[in-house]
Amino acid sequence: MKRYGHSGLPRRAVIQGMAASFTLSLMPRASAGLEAALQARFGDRRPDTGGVELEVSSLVENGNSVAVTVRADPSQPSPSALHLFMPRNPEPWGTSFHIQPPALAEFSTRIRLSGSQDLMALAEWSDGRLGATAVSVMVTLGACADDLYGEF
Amino acid sequence: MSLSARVRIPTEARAGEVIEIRTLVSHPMETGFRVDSFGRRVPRKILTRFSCHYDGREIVSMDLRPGIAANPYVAFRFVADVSGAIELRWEGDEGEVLIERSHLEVIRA
Repeated sequence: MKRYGHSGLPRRAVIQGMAASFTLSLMPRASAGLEAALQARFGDRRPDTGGVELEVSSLVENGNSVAVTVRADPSQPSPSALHLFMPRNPEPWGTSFHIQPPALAEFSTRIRLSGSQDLMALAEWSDGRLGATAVSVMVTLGACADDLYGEF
Repeated sequence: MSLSARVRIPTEARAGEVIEIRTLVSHPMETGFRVDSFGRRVPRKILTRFSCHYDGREIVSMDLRPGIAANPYVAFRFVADVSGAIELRWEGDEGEVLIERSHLEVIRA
């Protein structure tokens, strides 16, 4: 069997690396950054699936300004807050929107996306329950590309 | 830099009608993550909070983070139940405050 030096790629490491990336792709959508952001805001509470809708286009050309609408499921009692997370941004916590009647549990805004990722919208009810939905967005040119190319 | 807002607030509504407020503020929302051409980090300068008071009640408040795009746009809806003042308020991380006031007249059919 051919041996590789330190500068080469040992076969075992390559195979382990492939296995690791394969495992990662099968994991639920919770990056370390998102996990830390959820922990900071909700402690050990984790969301169930559903109860909130996230409207965003699935393919955007420019990550500097991406229109999003977050809306609670109208068939459920109104949550006290809606949250939006962008897991792969430098700061995953995007915004929190707090609601008191007669306001409706719905808001629209424009966000930055550093690259393609799965956005997560989350509804929080006053009894502590959380509901979440994730939507995958492809970004052609991320918001942070300006840093690299803006000076030319 | 002076803050300025463009807002769309209805001035009249029928009782029980759902109305929408749309807002846009001129602000760079500098993230604090960018680096200038000398490799120095550009300090963060963002609006951190938006709120709406309707007839003295805070019906909506929003934490704005660096992930909100420059010139932050926010739209939301509420049920017009009484005539009253509407006050929109933005606060920045350098203590700057921008307030827009309006009045909503609710017509009882």
